[in-house]
Amino acid sequence: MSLSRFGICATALCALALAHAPARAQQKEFEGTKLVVNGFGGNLDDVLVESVSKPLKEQYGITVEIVPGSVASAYAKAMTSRANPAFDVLVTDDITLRSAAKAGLIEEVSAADVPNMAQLYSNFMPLAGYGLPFFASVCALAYNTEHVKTPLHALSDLARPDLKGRVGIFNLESIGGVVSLISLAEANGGSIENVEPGFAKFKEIKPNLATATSAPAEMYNLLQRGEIWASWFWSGRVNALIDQGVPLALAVPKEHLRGNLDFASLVKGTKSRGAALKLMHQITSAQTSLAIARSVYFGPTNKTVTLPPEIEKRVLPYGAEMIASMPPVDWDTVVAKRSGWIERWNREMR
Amino acid sequence: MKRLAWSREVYFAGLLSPAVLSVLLILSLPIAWLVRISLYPQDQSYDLSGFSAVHYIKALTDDLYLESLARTTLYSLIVTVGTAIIGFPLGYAAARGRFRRWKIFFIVLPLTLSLIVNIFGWIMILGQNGLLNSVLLSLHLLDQPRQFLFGVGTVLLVLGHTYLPFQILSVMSVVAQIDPMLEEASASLRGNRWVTFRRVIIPLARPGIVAGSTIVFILTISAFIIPQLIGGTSVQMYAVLVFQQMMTVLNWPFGASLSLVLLAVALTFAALFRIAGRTPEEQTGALAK
Amino acid sequence: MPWQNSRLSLLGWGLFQVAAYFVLALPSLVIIGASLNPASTFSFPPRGLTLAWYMKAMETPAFTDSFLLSVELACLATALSLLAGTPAAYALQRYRLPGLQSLHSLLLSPIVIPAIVLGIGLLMFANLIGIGQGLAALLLGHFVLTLPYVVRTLISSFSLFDVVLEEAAQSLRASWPVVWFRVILPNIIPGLLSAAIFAFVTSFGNVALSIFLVSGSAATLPVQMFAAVEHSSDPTLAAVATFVILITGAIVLCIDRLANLQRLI
Repeated sequence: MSLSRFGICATALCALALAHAPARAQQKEFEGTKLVVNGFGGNLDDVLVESVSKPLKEQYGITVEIVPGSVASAYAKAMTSRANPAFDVLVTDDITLRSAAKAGLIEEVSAADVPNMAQLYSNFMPLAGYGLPFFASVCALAYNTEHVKTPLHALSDLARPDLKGRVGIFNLESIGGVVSLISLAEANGGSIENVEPGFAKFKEIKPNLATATSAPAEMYNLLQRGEIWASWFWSGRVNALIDQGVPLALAVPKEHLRGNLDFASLVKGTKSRGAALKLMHQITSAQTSLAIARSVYFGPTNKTVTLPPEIEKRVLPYGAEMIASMPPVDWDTVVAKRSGWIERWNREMR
Repeated sequence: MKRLAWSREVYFAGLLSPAVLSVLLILSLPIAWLVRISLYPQDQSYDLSGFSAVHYIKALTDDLYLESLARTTLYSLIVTVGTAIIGFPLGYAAARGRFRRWKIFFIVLPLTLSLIVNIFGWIMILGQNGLLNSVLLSLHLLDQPRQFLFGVGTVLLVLGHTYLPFQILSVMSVVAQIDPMLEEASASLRGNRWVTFRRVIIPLARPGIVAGSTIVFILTISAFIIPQLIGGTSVQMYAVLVFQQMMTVLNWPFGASLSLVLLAVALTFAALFRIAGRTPEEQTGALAK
Repeated sequence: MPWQNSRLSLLGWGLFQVAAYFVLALPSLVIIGASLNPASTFSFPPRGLTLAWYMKAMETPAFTDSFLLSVELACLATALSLLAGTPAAYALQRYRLPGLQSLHSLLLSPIVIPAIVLGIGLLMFANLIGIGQGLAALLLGHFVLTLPYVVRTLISSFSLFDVVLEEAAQSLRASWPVVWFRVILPNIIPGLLSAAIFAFVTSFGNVALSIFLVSGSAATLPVQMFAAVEHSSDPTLAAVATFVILITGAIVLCIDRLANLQRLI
């Protein structure tokens, strides 16, 4: 556009901005504070921006910076920056939560600090105030109805001969893979202490495997393209695929669903404790839970959330009944035993 | 004469110092931390104390890790030799031939793709619903789709494809500095094409091939994202095991000792490559432009 | 080329090159094709043509901001490693001292140290000197990562460059800046070009190391792409990748043109 036009536009914008300025003159409680939290990427981060960053900015003047990367890299970053914490709130999963707590990285909060804490399902808070869960997810069976004519009912069905070369599972680097090992072990006469039956089942599934990956993105792509026809995958992601028109069906396995949680934890030594607590309050709110369920089909952790009928059936896990029926996982034992399991997997599955 | 010698030393020291000092400065802490961490006896990332070589003993005696190291080194050598054989003629042609700008563009192309996007691309090409299968099926060379993804061959192919540009560019930059007159001179002396190639070009281009091979070897031996995503269950390259220890199992002391073992192997090979490429240097210095 | 005088060998040679470049370009072509697919799935060949994903990519601040940052970072890292690496490569190649081999290994080591380990170590270093995550830490990391390529490439470049010419210049009482700028540098232009391309592309595309050094306000494009793919998998990613291909190609051609211009001077 020509210079004069540009000039007019610029002046108009300035005038507009100045007109709004007096409205913002009132001071907000945490005006100018910046919080750093680790995120996930993609749609989930978009939800967090809408449901957490925006309200916090409007209400308290807090700027939330979401750092992309994995939970593991965030943990490593937090571990190496204790003197001057890189994050104010750390998002963790079941395993890193325990490591972070043991390492003295995070601080416990109480219901007085974060009022929404009282609204969370109590069996979702294994370490009480050390980590406040803000979404729950499960891995379930997913299969392509166009190619797989007989429905799948159990994890062990993945060893069915008609699925040769068309199965994708998670390996033990993924938390979803760990859950599948435990599920297979406990359903076949073993336990978390004796995972032998679990590994035996994996060996049975092995000939059918296209791949055992650690990257959800890869599993997603393979299912989307019909490269694999049966999988053990995050139900939320399967729902996203179904929305895209991929002919998939979700099935609850005979071996029971076991939940995974993602937590928000207060980092020890953060310089903005008050603001960080506000963030934790916002991220565990019913509003955020609902937004996450709507967008990525992950389960709400806030008891007061009622899902609208159109997505109620699709979100797993949901409802007090289902949540109570999911067998708990002893994550502390998992943390202790995992490296041995991974080595065992490396030896057996190559 | 003595004064000249002394200032020459200072000159070289001055040339080297910015690079060496900055690398030393930046890397010293990470490497020191790595060495220190590898000497803790514990299997976790916090509450570390004491000294022990237990992780090194495991890294060097446990058959899972030794086998992986041997295999990874072998794979890396295969990829290095493969890219050298394919890359040398391509680099030569890129330096001498026509359409140079286009060639450079195509050579750099694989390097521009982010790893995950690269993987998605290969899935689209090699998958059972992918390009290769469609072509082979329509040509009736196959009657049902075959799984080309997820295996050792695929990993080597993708690694080679990803790192071939480094070899080509390396050769190209060196060949571009060889005076074309030398080739013409050889031809005019009735040397046939192969003799010229063998006796003139290859020795002169050797530093380029060596430099490219060193880079490709080092990159391949420390690759972990590509093998993890495209290798399926059967390919366990060493750096993947390091990743498992550092990021998944959070056993930093063991992960650190594995890293240092890898570093030692890679640098040894780099030194071997350098020695292999060194001998004719003295002569070529006088012959080149 | 002097030794290609039979029609058949010329044809064979040409075919080989075409085939090789085709294979090199294949994944990129497939991705470009996927970026034009109207359906929100990653597939090739595309079932139609649309630029919608490009629009979406340009409206995503995560992608646009990080793209600019990546370009800035790559340029800076390349410049720094060329500045430091060229003299170092020269000294390593010309000088014969026993200790030099270990210095050479030192300068090569950043690409061997697994990125995770280097990332954590560099982060500790960054925290120690007070810069923390962000652009400064990224620059340190990328500089140290691109330097090996520059050094290694230029060592081979220097080995082809005749010492006699330098000595001649020196015997004519040329001072060292003159020797450098008038004699040495013009003759290693292809090496500098290669090194610059390596450095730029390595820095721009780096994921593994950068993950540790990014902050919320300073993230590089590959890290954003890596993160984005975790929870969304529509062809926007392919559009971004295509964009990167075009821009990187353009920059590389610029560098090449620069090198050619210098040669004519």
